[in-house]
Amino acid sequence: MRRLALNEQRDPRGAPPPAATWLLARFGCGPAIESLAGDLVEEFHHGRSRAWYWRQTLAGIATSFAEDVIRHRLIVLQAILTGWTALFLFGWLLGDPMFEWLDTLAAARPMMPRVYPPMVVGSVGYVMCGWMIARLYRSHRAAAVIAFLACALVLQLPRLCDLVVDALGHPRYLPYLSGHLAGMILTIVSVLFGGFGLPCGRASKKIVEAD
Amino acid sequence: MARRDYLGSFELMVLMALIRLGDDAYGVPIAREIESHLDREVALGSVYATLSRLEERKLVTSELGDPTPERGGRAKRYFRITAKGIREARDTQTVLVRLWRDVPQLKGGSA
Repeated sequence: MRRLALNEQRDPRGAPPPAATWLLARFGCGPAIESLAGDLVEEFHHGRSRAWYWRQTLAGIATSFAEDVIRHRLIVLQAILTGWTALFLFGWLLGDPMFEWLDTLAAARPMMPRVYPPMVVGSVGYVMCGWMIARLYRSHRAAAVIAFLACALVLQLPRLCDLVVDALGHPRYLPYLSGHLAGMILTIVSVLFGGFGLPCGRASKKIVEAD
Repeated sequence: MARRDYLGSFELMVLMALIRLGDDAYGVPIAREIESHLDREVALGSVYATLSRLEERKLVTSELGDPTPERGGRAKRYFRITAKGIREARDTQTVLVRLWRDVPQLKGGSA
């Protein structure tokens, strides 16, 4: 233990990694996140390393997320259902008009970089879902949004496995695999942007304190 | 027979650390106290998750201290074990000792 602590010694005057602190404030769940963030800063100033700070931050986010999901599983389930309902309604009401608009746009400007309409429409839908979940489930925002994202990614896994098998069998399937991977990355970015990047009402800045 | 929720091993460790630390029990000293006995790193997030679970079961109480510049203006959350918490810790110990007793494989530290 002592050896571990000595190995972790670094310049105690440096500031903790701001990206880690930001991640904890954004994605940490539950009422103890502020205290945890304070503890991490205190320990960092007492000589813990940046690696230690990052490790503890990521563990803190994962643990608080799991704890929030387990303790409020009905709310999280409700949030997931809300997200899928919103996505379905979006596709039903706005999907076709958006596809048409994108086609018209592409036809009118042939020099414009080629956009991939399903990805654009899907991204807009996922941004909207993330935002809606964040807005409706403010007090459990991180848990609700991340659970919806995890669910969306899990549903894309079977197709990914199929494509990996196909691509291993023949390289002509590689573009499909990369397209699917790009879609998954876009899903992550879109849900996170909608859930955490857009304002979601009065409590958005005070979420950690209000929780 | 009424259902009883006995404490898990980490929950028991956290409660024991709270008893040992007394009034100065917040995240950092609690984690250090456990680390000093476990001889490995403890995630502060796990300590807080456990404390929050214990607080929900009314085995501990918490109160916020004053924010300090050393902590980036964030307040410490002090925890204290309740009478119910002490009772639960004792009950868990009793059950463990009873289970431990007369197990030949666990005698004399050889197992």
